[in-house]
Amino acid sequence: MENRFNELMEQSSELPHGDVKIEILEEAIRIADTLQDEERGFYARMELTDTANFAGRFEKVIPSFSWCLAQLDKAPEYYHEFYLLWQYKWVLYNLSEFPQIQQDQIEDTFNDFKNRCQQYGYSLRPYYQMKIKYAKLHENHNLAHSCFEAWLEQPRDDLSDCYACELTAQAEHLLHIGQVHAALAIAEPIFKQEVSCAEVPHITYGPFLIPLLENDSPELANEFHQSGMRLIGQKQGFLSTIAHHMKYLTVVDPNAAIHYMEAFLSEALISHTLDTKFQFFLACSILLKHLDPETIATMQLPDHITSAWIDEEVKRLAQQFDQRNQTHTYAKEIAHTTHQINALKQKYGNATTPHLS
Amino acid sequence: MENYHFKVNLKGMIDLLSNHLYSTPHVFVRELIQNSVDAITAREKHLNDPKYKGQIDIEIHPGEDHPTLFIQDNGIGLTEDEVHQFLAQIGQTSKRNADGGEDFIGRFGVGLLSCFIVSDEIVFVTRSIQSDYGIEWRGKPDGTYTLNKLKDRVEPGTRVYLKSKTGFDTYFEQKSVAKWVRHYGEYLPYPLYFHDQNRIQLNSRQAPWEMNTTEALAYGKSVLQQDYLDAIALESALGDVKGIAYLLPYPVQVNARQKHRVYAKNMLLSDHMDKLLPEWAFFATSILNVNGLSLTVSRESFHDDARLELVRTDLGNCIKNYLIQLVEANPKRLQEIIQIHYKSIKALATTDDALFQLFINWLPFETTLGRITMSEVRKNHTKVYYTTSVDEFRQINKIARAQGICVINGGYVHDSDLIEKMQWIDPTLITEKISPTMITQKFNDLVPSERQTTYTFIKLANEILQPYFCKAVIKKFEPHHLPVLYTTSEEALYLRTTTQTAEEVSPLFSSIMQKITENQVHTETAQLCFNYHNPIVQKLINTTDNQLQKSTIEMLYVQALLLGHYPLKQEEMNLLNEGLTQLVDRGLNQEENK
Repeated sequence: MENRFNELMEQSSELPHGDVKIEILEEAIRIADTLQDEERGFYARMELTDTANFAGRFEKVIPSFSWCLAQLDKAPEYYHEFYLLWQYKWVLYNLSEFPQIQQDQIEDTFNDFKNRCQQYGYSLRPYYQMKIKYAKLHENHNLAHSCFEAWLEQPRDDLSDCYACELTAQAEHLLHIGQVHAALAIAEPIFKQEVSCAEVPHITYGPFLIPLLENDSPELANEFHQSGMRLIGQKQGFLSTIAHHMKYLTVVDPNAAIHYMEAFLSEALISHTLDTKFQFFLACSILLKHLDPETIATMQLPDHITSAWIDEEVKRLAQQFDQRNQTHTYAKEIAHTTHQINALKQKYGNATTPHLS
Repeated sequence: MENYHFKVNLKGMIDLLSNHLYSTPHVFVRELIQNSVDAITAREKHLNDPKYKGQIDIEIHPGEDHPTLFIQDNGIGLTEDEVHQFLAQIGQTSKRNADGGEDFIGRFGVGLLSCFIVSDEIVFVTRSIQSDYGIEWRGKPDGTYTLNKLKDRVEPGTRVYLKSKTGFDTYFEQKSVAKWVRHYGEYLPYPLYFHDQNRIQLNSRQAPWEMNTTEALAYGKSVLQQDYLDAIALESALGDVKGIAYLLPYPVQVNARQKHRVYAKNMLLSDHMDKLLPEWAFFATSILNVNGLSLTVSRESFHDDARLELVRTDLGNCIKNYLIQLVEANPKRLQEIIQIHYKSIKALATTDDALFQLFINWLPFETTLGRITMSEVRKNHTKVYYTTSVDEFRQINKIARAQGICVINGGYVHDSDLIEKMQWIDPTLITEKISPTMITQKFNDLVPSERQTTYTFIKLANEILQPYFCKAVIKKFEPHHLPVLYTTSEEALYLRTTTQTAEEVSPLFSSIMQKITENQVHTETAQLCFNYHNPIVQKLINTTDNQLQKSTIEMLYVQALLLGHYPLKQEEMNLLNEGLTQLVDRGLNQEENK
């Protein structure tokens, strides 16, 4: 059985982040647990947390991450805290994606992370950075703003996101508050390929697309769209970025968006990270409204997926979130995005669309 | 208002270059040759005289304390003004001419910087073809330099003297320099001489990208020491690229990093560059000569832009078209290739319909009947069954095999995508995703009289298994010697893992996991299917000893979990312990009673 464990770990090390790798690691973990081998269990789970995170299977992150964290608490002299705290950032970033999880649970988790950072002597920079998204989801703009400021004030250390990721996060925040030009300036080193990492610039281009169209820069938007999708290709774990690209295509060339819906729908259907799912389905729902029925009939989709079904899903997810957050953020987002795309279609619909290869 | 220039700390920059930008200190050899090559190219362009022939000479002087490298070219040379200019340009790399080409002088400066990684003084003697006197320039890493007009007449061209600094002598050894010069410049289209006791020409006669398949394979064997499976000519007019793709003679993992040997205008750029072929082409390595792509600052890779993407597609098409023509021209060779590289061909087929149709029948799949090709699957079965995960496949493998059902393991990368794609390509073909539960549904049901005799037994089993989110059923299936079959779905398994993990983590995360799972709709729970044909199960149904019946059901459940490699939850561990103790106790008591 130990051999089988090693064999599985070796297999998994060669695979890209995705469902197959997840399954292989899960099998390895079952073996380690059967052998009651905590060290192997720890090692395999650390890998699983990584893979599940990058493959967008966040529901698998929580059990494996929290198990490792419990081991660290049990034997702090035996395991190293650094990489676990690194993974903890992903947990914080994604926790609000689950409408089932209560507000106070999310806040407790943030506090737990904060305590651990202080306990181990790390900067609170990532703590504030992760909290921005949380504040935004709760429509708490003051909190979002103060977290943004606190984030940049705290010193950088090993636990901080890499420079490329931080620039992307800054740019996203600026886009969120409508400062497109500032966002472009901040992200310039990324666009000039001076800084990059495993996920940047893959995820950097998407959020710029709609704001660029609104700011009369369709050529740049087209360029960003091409560059972004070229990097993402068929990879798993980029659903929310793809949603941005689909919204963009819905404006300039809806037929070109079909392919993305077909290709990534299955990933969205099984996704447990519901905010991501919401973003993707919202993009699909709007796209389908801008396609004629004959075209929709040619799409390669599972039988039960109809336009009405997707609309329902979008509404259902929005309700779940709004109920938990005690806000109307999601309901408003549906209306806002629908209106935004319609307005942009009016603006660009009759004009010649940018050339798309 | 006045303009000022601020000073850049040259030492700091050199440190930056040597530690971050260049992959090895050897690059100074490359940069020196590159400067000569650029000077010769510039002179060719300027003169437009077919009689002019470029030449580069290299020599090592042992020296008293440290060796000195000497390199000379008969290129365009620099004027006094240009010498000042190129120093002012150090670090300014993206400057371009009006004609879109890189600025010759600007690039020169950056290249020379890399020399300071190995030397404390660069002496640079040059005469421009447009000037009638030569210049001697001496530069130091602190950014200071001197400039002298030479009284003696020198030929147009440039000579560089580079003395090793302490600790870097090994980079100046004759053998080592000759090796690196050849490494970078052996395919330059004009002579490259190394002066030892004799004059040795370091150029090779024919570049790999000018070879035909046979020559290329021979080159692979003798020079690269690899017996490649095949060699394919590559060409992209857009990037002005020519090359050879070698098919690796051993399987490579999906997404393995590609390593290509890339020349830019006949000079070696890197022997481990990636991203030049499409991702799916990881079964190939290539040698390429590129003239029309722009380089990054380090000059060790190309800008990953839209143009590179198009070139990549061009090169990918060369490989694709070659494989396609093999179907007719050399099916045996194709089979060899597929046997080794079916993984990447599968990757390719998922996104390319034409290739999919050509290759799908040749591709091997793991099935309950062993590893067979799709055409073999289709020959004997009108319907193609598959699982989407390795785990599900393992659960049903034995059962399906015993019943002669062919199920494909779709759990490997691309496999289920390919199978799902089949029905879009060929509507006559029926594919069906199968789960372990569906397999058990295909088992034979009991007749009413048998149902009656098993009714209380199954009711009891359900009561016992209910706390473990497991349902009990009884059916008839092959093989008879298997008493029970435990099947689970991905959802049920996830539920099992989280509840198991929640027992071991902090209260905070335990409560979070409870929240995540509590609202999940449990459409499919795990299932324990008893085999009516199995003798033990028969005895179990018929026993009147309730306690024995109960603990045997529990033990069969735990055993099924262990056989399926599912780690036990605390409660299940207790079942195992109690059950074993009871059975042992019972056995010993019987012994006593005899």
